[in-house]
Amino acid sequence: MTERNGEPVDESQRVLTVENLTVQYGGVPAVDGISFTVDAGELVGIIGPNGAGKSSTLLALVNAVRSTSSRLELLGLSIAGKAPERVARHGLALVPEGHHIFGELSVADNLKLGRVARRSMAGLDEDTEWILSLFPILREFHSRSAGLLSGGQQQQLAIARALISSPRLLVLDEPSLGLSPTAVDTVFSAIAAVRARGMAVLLVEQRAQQAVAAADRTHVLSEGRITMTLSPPDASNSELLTKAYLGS
Amino acid sequence: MIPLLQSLVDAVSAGAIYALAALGIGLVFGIMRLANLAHGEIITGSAYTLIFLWQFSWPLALVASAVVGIGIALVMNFAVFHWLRAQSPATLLIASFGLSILFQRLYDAAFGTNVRTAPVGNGLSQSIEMGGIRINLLSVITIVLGVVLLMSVHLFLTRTSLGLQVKAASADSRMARILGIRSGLVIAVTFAISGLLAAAVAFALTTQSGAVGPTFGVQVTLFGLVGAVLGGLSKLSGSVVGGFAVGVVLSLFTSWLPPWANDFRTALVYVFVIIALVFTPNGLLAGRSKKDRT
Amino acid sequence: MIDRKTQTKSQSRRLLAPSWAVDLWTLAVPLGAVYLFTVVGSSLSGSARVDLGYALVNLIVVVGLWVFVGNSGVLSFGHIAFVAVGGWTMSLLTLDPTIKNNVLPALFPSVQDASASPVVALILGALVGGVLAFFSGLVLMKLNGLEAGIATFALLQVVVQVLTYWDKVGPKSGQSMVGIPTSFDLPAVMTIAMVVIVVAWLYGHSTSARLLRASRDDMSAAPASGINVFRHRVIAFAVSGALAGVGGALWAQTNRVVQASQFNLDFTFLTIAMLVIGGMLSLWGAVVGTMVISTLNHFLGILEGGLDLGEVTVSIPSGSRLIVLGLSLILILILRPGGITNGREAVWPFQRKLDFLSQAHTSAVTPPTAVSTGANRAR
Repeated sequence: MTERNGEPVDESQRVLTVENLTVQYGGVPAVDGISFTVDAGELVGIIGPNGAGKSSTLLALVNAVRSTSSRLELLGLSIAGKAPERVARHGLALVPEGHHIFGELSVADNLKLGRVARRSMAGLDEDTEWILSLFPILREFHSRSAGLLSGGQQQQLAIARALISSPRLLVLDEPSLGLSPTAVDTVFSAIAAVRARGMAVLLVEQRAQQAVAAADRTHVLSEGRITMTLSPPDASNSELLTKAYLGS
Repeated sequence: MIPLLQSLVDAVSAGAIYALAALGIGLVFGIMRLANLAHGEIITGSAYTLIFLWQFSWPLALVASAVVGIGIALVMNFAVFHWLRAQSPATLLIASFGLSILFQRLYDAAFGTNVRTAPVGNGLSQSIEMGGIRINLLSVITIVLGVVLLMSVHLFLTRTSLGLQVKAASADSRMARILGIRSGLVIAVTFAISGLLAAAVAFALTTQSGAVGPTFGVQVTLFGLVGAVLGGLSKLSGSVVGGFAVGVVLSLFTSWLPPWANDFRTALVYVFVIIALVFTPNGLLAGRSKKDRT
Repeated sequence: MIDRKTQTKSQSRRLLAPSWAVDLWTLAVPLGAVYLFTVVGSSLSGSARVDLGYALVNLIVVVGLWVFVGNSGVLSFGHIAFVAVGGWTMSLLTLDPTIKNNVLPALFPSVQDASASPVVALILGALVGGVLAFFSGLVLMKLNGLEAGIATFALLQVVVQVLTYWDKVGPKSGQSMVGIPTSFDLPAVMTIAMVVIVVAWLYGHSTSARLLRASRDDMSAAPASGINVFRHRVIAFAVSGALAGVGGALWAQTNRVVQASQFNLDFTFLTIAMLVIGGMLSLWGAVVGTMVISTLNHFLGILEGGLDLGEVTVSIPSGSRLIVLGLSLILILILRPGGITNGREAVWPFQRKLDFLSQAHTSAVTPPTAVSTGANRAR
């Protein structure tokens, strides 16, 4: 989708820069000075035990929680302290944990809402077609009330909605949570397809092995700090994974 | 027969007025959990505009009262409620209470405690023949106005992008912002619509009484709020139905209550309100998603 | 969400005094403040003494309001109903029989003949208020938030309507009870106010109140821990109603004229504003709020009458008092939503932070910058 703007995709284009990010809840740091980057076309994963600060990190990116950082940039523009809606319009699409679709609206209306953060309506129809091909079930339920969808279908809707905004960076918080294996496959295929188009993707996942195997690199977050960074070959190293998953 | 039909038409007309008031309140509550007690003062402001300008030019008066209604609503939003966005609904309610009293006193200081009068919509206070029955033209016009406005709001919310954003922000304001919806804009638009609805209520009421005082909008707002809560604040349709029901009941009471009970008419209504609240705390039309109302 | 105050509480161990002393401090300060307030106020002028009388009565009502609202976190717009019945009781029992016969000819014979000494009338006023509150509490206390606000407001309307129109218990509609004797002078009213504060303070330390406060701060956890929220709310409502009844009785004998229409939205607003401006969650807040607003009102009253500053006479339009009050309330809510006291009791001066009766999880805590209604998950 980044090709559509008429500019060729520069694979080394830095999309997200996070330096020294700290999130505190009442004096207790949930995220303690972490740093990482995401480039266009990259899939960067974050795994770790519960309570490690993964969700807080993602929420901090859109400023849904207060945070401090020495650098927080999206495509070179500082997004630190900016209102969530501005960060979204800059091109960061966050799909928070737990679907959060609007149950009283139809699937179609939910998707329409994705357009709000879209920078240009050019190519909207093609994009919509492509997104619906990634998640065919949404085409089938187009005019149904979104609240009637199953959990897995709602998750697909949430991701599709985020993609409609043609983001530079797609951020997913545990998209496979509570999903059936088929749905998980659909989601991961979609992520691969999206990435092939040159979008940057940041993924927080419970399924450590799948994340490590798919991502260019995966950071392990434990007690608010990045303790190690894994690459795809490590996916078959179950000992390493267990250590990472349970925390050091 | 005739008095019954007449009273039914009056009841529906009163229902329309209270439905509009309840919708104005319900819209703002949906978008920011604010039960705006000062909604009545928007109505009063529009009414004063009508009273003062009617003699010069009635089209001007109508337009001006709508502008004033929208204007006061926006002023309330940007001067007060905007700064309290992050507070609890209880705080918002108290703030609106303060704003309500403040505006009442300002009106009192500016225009005096006594009512101001003007023959607003005089030509409409007459009976007409419809289907062989004589009914009040004003009642009919009020009903039509109510229906038109309700439908317009409905169309706005369902067919326009901005309306969709309003619905989304009302359902889940955090997610709406994450999607890029500008909450400040959406809130302002909602207030503007509520101001327009308030102006409509002002028109209907002023035409009935022809007199406006500082507390003009208080009763309709109180009962509009009651209706909205009774109908269930989680869905706008609930507010409308609740407001309509309250208006109908009030009107029927006025028409049909025996003389000995008339003194206690208001008390009776409030007793019913208490009973209704206690037995249907989720509202008469409890929506699927029960919103946190506290 | 971990509260910053809980953290610093462990630092506040260096109290330099036993905890009972620190605790009593939270009672001594309000009492002392009321005493000072009365002494200073009564020495200013005759009009100050008049305003002071009303201020002390309002104080009793606002403290009563705190007992319920501050501890339960539920808004009540109906407390003036209990003030009204308290005032009614006082009037009916202490009015001179001749006046009673003239102004209130249609009363029930038992009410017509009833009379009592002022002290008894006062106690009965408290009882009537408390009983009314208890029974209406049984009906209303299941409700939360906005519904509770509306329901209590409806209660007020019902009571006021009944008092207005039912001439068997009061004057005919539109008429007032006049000539109510003033049986308690300023020092007596002050003493009663101080007793009310002590009662409220004692209630605040009771188990019931503590459990109620626990439910206030976390609506979902309390029932799960076995706290019967309903019961404790009814208790709070009843105590609160009784105190409001005392306030009403004293209001009647201070104002000397009583009419149902006086117990209206403006009176409701005045008491709520005083409580909120002082700090809704604490007893000290109720006291501070009343004193501050009453003082402000007194001086605004002087300005309304015209104040001579040498060659210039400064005056403001009458009715400015409520305008200023409304503005003050809005400003406080924007700038310092916890009120002047920020919901705290009187602070023991010899250490940093102290917080006995009010662990505030409310809007007193500064909210996070950007988005408010998000789930605050510690991940």
